[in-house]
Amino acid sequence: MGFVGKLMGNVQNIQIYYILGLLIFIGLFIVIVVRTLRMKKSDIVAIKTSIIDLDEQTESMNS
Amino acid sequence: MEVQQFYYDNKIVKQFMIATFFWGVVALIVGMLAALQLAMPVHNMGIEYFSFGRIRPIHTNAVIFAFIGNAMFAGIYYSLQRVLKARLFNDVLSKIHFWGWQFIIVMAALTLFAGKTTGKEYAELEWPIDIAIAIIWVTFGWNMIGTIINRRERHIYVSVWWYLATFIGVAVLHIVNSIELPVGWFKSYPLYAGAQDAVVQWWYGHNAVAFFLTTPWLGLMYYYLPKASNRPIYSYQLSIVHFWTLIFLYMWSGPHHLLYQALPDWVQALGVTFSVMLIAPSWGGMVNGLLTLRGAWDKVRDNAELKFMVVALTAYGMATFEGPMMSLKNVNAISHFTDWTIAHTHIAGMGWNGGLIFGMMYWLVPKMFRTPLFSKRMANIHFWLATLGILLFAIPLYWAAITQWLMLREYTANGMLAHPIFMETTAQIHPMYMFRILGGLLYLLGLLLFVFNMIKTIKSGSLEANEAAQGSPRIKELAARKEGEPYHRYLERTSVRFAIFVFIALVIGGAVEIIPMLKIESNIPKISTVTPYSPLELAGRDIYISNGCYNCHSQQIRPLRWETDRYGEYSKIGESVYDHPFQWGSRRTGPDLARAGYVGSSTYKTASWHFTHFMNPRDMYPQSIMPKYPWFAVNTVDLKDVKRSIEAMQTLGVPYPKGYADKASADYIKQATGIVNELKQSGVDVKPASEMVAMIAYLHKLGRDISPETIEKLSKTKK
Repeated sequence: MGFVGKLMGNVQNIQIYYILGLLIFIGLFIVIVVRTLRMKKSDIVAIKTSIIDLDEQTESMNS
Repeated sequence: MEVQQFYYDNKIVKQFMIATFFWGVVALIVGMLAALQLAMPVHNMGIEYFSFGRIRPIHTNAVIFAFIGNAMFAGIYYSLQRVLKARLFNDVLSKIHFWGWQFIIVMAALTLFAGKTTGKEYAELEWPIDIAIAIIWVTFGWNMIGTIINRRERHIYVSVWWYLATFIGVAVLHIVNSIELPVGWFKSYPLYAGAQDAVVQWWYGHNAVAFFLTTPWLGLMYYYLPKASNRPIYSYQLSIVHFWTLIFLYMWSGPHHLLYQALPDWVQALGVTFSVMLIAPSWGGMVNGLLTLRGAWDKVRDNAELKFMVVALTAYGMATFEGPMMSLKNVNAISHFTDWTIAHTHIAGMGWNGGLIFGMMYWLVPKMFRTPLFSKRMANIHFWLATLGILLFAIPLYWAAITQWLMLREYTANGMLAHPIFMETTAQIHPMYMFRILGGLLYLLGLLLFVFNMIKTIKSGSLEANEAAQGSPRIKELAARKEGEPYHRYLERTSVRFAIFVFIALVIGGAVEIIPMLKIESNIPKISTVTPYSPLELAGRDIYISNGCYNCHSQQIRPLRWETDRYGEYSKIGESVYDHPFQWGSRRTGPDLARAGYVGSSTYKTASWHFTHFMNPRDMYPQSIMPKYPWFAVNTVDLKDVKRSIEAMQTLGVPYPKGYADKASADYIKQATGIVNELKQSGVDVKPASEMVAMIAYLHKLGRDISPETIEKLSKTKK
C-alpha cells in the first residue's frame, strides 16, 4: 500500500485526467442513447403504460 | 397463473406523513426566526442558543432532513410497494427506520442549539448522530432492497432506479464526509484539512442536493405525476438517458462551490465543465415531466395536486438552469458570497421540493384515507400563497445580491473603493430582507392551511393500515439475458446488477476529484511561515465554529481586484493546511475575516475593539445586524479540552512538538494573560479562561502568518 501511496502522491499532469473523464462520459452517453433509441416502440408503450395499470386490480378489489 | 393475496403497509406511510406535517411547520417557523434575525437583530434575543449562527443550521437541517426527508420516505414507501407489488420487506425495519429518523431529528436540533457542530454546512451533526444516521440509512436501504428482492413485478420501474441511486449516493457521501476524530461525546475534528476538507465537503454538499433533494424526488415525480394526471410518462427512453447521465455527472460538480478560491485550477475547471453539462439531464427530467401533461392541461386547472407539480417542475427547470450558470466563473464572482445563492436554493427548496411534497400529498392523502379532500378551495389558496411566497422571497434576494455586488466593486474616480466599509452594503440591502420575511410568511401561511386541510381530510376518512392487494408469486431474478432482449430491460430485471452499475456511475466522479486532492502533494503547496494554532487560538477556533460564525463570515479572499483592495492579499492553499475543519464559508452577511489578524488590513481590529463589538455590535456600527455575544465574557474554556484538542491535532498530523499537549495549558494561560493585560489598559476586565479571550486570539491569528511582520520576524530568527 505504501507503494500505491507514493505513486499517487507524485502523479503529474492531473489536469488532463478530467478531460479523460469527459471523454469516458461522452462515449458512454453515445452508447446509451443509441441502444435506447433502438428499442422496439411497442415495448416502450407497454412499459410506459404499466404505471397506470398497476393499481387497477387492487383498486377494483377494494372498491 | 397463480394469484397471491398480500397486504400493503399503509401505516408506515401515514406515520411519515404526520411527521412531515409536524416538522414542516417547525422548520418554517425556525426559518422565519432566521429571516427576522437578519432583518432585526433583536430577534437573536441575546441568548446563545438562539443566535443566528445556531438557528440557521437548525433551519437548513430541519427543512432538508426533517420536512423533506420525512415526505420523501412517505412517498417512497407508498410507491415502492405499488410498483413492485410487494409489502415492505420487514415491519420491524420500517418501525426502526421511522422512530430512528425522528430521534435523529430531535438530537440534531438539541445539539445544534447547544452549539455542538462540526462546522461543515449541511453536515453539521456530530459523530454520534452521524453514526445513528448511517445505521438508520442502512435500515432504510435494507428495507428497500429486501422489498425489491421480494417483488412480484419482473422489471423495476423507473422510480425505483432513482430510489436505489438515492440510497447508494447518500450512503457514499455521508460516510466519506463524516470521517472524523472524536475528542468528546459531541466534539470531533475531520480527518481532512483546508483545501482537501473543502473539496470533500462541497463534493458532499453539492451531492446532498443531488441525492437527497433531487434523485428521490425525480423518482417520486415519475410515480405521482402519471398517477395524478392518469397519463403515462412522456418518454421512457428519455428517462433512461437522463437517469444515467444525471447520476454520473452530478458527482463531478462539487468544486463549483469553490471557484476563485484556494484550490488547484484543474479542480475548478472540472467543476465548471461538468456543472454546465448537468443542464442536459436535468432538463431531460423537467421536459419528461411537463410533456407527460400533454393533453391533460385542463386537469391542471382543476387539480391542486397537478398545479403544485407543475410549479415543482418549473422551479426544477429554473434552478437547474441557474445552477450551471452560477458555475461559470464570471457569474460565480457575483453569485458566490451573496444572497443569490440563498435565492437559488429557496427556488429549488420551496418550488421543487415543496411543490412536489404538496402535490404528492394532495393526491395521496385522499386516496389513502378513501375520502375527498376536505377543501379544494383551501388547497387553491395554498397554491397561490406558496407561489407568491416563493417569488416574494427570491426576487428581493436576487436584487440584494446584484446591489451588494455592484457596491462592493464600485470605485471612485481616484481609484479607491467607493464603499470601503462592508456595512454600507448590508444597510443598502436591508429593505430586501424585510421583503424576504413577507415571502416566507406567505409560504408559512400556505403550509399551515395545507396541514389543516390534511388533518381534516385524514379525520374524515379511514385508513386501511394493511391494504389487500393481489399479484403473481414472487419473481426469481434470472441472470441470463434473453435473445433480443434490450440491455436496459435486462438490467431492470436484475436488480443487483443494476445497483452495481449505479454504484460505479456514482463513485467515478468523486474518486477523480477527491483522491488526487488527498494524495498528490503538488496540489497543496506549503507556506513555511504558516504555523499551527496555539492552544488558545485553537480553543478560539472551536468557539468560532460552535457559534456558527462561518454562516456569515468567510475566510477566503478571491483573487479579484475589489476583494484584494478591500481585504488584502488573496488566500493561498498553504494557509489553511492546519484547518480541521476548513472555515472558508459560503455567504458574507458580514465581511471576510481571512486577514483579521494581519496588522494593517482593513479587518484587523484591536482586542478592546473586538470586546466592545462582541458585547454589542451596534456600539461600533449602529446599522450592524450581527448578534450580540455577551456570553463570551462569562463562559470559560475547560483547559482539559485544550489538551485533548492538541492531542487530536497531533493524531491528525499537525506538527506540534512531541509532548506539547502537556505544556498546552501553560502556553494557553501565558498567551491569554497577554490579551487580558491589553484589555485592562482599555478598562476591560475579563478572565484569561473566558471565551472572549480565546476568540480574540483566534481572530488575531487569521492571516497573521503571511503578514510582513511575521515574515520579517522569521527571517531574523533564521539569521
